[in-house]
Amino acid sequence: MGRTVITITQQLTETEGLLSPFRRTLRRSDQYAFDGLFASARRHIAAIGQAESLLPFESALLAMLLEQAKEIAVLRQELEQLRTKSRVERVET
Amino acid sequence: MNEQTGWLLDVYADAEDGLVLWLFTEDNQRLRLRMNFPVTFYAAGEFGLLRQAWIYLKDKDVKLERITRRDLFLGERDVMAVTLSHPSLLPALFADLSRQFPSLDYYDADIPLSLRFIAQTNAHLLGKCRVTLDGEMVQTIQPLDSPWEVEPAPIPLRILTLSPDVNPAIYKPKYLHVQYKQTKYRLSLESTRAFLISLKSDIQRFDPDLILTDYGDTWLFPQLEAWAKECGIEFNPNRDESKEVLKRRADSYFAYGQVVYRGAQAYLFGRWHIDRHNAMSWGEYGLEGAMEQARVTGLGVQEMARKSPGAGITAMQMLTALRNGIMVPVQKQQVEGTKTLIELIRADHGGLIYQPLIGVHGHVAQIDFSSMYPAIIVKHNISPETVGLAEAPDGLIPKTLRPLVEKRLALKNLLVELDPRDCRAETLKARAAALKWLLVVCFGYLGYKNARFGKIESHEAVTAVSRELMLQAKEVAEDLGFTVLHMYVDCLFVQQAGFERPADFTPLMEAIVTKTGIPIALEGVFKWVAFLSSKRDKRVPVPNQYFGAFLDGSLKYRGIELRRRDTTTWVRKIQLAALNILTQADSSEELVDYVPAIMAYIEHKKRDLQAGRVPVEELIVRQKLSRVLDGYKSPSPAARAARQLQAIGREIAPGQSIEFLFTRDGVHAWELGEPLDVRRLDIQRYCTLLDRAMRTVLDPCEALHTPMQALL
Amino acid sequence: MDILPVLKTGKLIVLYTPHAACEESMSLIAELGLRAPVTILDGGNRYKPYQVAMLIRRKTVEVNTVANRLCSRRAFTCYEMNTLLGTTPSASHPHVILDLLHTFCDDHVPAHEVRRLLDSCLKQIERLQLSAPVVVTLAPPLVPERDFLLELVCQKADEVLVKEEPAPQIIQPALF
Repeated sequence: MGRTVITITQQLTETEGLLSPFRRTLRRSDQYAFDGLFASARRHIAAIGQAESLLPFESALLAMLLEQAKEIAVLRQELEQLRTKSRVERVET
Repeated sequence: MNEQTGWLLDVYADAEDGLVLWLFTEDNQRLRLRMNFPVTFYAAGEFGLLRQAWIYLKDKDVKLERITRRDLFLGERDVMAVTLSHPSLLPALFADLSRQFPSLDYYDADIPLSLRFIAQTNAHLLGKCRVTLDGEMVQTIQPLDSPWEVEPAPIPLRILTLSPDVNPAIYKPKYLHVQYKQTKYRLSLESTRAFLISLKSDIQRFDPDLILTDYGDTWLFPQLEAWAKECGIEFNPNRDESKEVLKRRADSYFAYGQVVYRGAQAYLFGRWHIDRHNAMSWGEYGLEGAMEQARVTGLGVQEMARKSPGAGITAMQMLTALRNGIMVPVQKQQVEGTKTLIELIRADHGGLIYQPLIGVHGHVAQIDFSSMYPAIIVKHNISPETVGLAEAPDGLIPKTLRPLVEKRLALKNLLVELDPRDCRAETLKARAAALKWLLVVCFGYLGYKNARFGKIESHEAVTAVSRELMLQAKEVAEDLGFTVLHMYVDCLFVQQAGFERPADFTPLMEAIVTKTGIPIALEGVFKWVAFLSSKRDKRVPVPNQYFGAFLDGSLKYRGIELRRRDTTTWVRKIQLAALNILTQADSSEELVDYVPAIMAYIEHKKRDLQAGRVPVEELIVRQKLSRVLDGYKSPSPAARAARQLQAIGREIAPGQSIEFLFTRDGVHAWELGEPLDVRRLDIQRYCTLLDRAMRTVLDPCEALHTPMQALL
Repeated sequence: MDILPVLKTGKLIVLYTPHAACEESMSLIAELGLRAPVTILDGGNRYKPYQVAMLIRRKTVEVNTVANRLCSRRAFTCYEMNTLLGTTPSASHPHVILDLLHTFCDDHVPAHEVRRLLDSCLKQIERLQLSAPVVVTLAPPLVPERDFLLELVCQKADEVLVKEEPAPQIIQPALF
């Protein structure tokens, strides 16, 4: 009602569309990872919207980095757990 | 001098009697009373033009005056006041004057008469009042109650129900079923003459206050008129026999972002006619709801039953304006103020919509702000004329909404206390729902292009405040150790280990109310709730699709096939049954245990379909036509079905819902009337539809619910 | 469509394309914004702020500075369009009116009324032209009964730039 500016969701889809020549050239497996980047951005549409930037893609890139940072943190934790477990096993044998 | 006490049922203009009102007296009479009721409208604008208009009106039977009156945005304005002694003359005179002088600004020229009456007398529709009479002429009116009373005394209406034995759009009815109180019978339509005479005498005998029909607007009343002419019988279903039935044409119009189709309408005088098939939200709140809306808006019951709640909100705003000496413009003059690029991006937002954490979650509380937007409008005094001003007086819109918000809250609180078996529960629920709808649309009307007092900045101000309040609520929740799983405009889904019963969430709710100042309520605690992902990419969350089971085992779902209007009854039933199987699970971990049972159930249902055991009615797909039939480049299934109907002579308009079945060679429009050979059904397609709906339910149960995994 | 060369104070330029010169007008607004303030009146929901911002970014890092020069208002009915024009002060910077006729195709407003409002709009545009260049974009009217409005606007233009929809390609099916 009265809204005329496109939503962040639509803007992100448009940007994705502009990048389709880039995506197309990638290998299929890389395309899946590429889509994953946009999926991570889409987890934070509310935050991108609230940032009220003239160039929302910059905020979307930040969201992608955020998700990667979380992924790294989880991987670190799992790695640490594995290390601890194997240390314990070595001590026990 | 005579005195009467009773309920005000109806108010309308009459060419001879000025204003007519119908009173349902305490001693069970229905009195037709009248009042002298002069009406005034105003014109303003360029002085030379006004002078010409004055000269033009001099020899018409009106009183002219130069005065100043208040425009909501422009302040005090010099206007020409035109007063007519008979309200029924106003529409024609205004049409003529505005045709001659189109560039003048006009005010108070198209206000429904009932609103003027209410503003002047303070009596309200369906309200009790005491009148002193001189014969039929009303001398004084004294209101005895207020439209804001939570439980007004019920009005013992006489209701006559008429419905044909079949849908007249598809088949030719043979009988008209009649019901009055406990009496039920049917009238044969074979001999129209005999039928008309019977119906006429029945209506006279029962003297109903309300004639409730099926297809009355689109079939019965037009048909009665035609038959009466054919047979040469006088047939007037009005209680006021000096008037004819008021007919309105069918119409397609654009509202709420889509095309809406409204069938033809038939209005009565002195009694009401409501067509259950042409009433906007009849299913939701029925007669009690329509009456409640008439009570608080000031528009007649017949109008409110058919019109969108937007008309009701507009009427309420007009009434507030009339009561506060503000003129109601015919055409709004206020436009948007200038915005820079940044200001435009900042302002043009809706409510805060989060992206939920995909998967199934256990022990989740859903907390809703109560009537958030209206509550914000009232608390923060957001009104088109006050927006942007620091110390503004009580705005028009907050003034209009305050009693509505308070009454709805009072009704909700009453319902919470009430035993669900209490006979008042149904009525109160219907009233609360009717008021809810008025509140839901009032926000839209703040910025709506045709709203008399609309200004887009006020609309934008409300959403800005709502986003801020949602963020405050989130912060309060997180400070208290909760995870906010999801937020959607006015509700939050929160979770914390060890918090499982409703009482556990009370401190959180109190903290949110303290911080935001807006009332909040616990919708419920879910044993488990599944937030769904996009069908296109499983890693992408969807904000408004979920399903879950509350602690008491009841289901809640949004956005899934079950809720969508175009889903077939067959798929809907099966999806609901599958969800009901899942409600037995007491935790998110247990859900996967019920998957085999659901799979078996689906196979069973598919076998039913293949064996022809599914009633064809359950396979009907319902889709709206979004545009005129010729406007389709490649026709949708609905368009193809509509073309089939067009070929047999049916009129099709955009916004209409078309019902059809999927066949091996395309579609088969349901209203073609001819029975379909079930072997032609496209079994495969229906199975695919079922599979899709089942994936919605089963995927969350089968998926691992670690959010991190979803990234890969 | 090379619009900049024909823009001059005192001139009314009309751009007529199937989508009211959507792309071209956003480029134009961005280009103009790099040099001076621009007033934008949007009559058909054609203004695309994010697209304009991206176009500005391609030319300068000072996106905010340029963006602050672009001032817009929106009209949702033909009455509002008329009021917008009537309340736009004359200025020495360009005015861009997007999809002027979109709201004039509402069939709830009778033809004579639409005509009256458009005449009033055109008078205001004449006023604005006196101190700055004015660009109006138009799209084919949604209903053929309102075609006459196009004529009325184009008559007042000093220059009308047209881009037609490319004809749909008829692909010959292979014979073998």
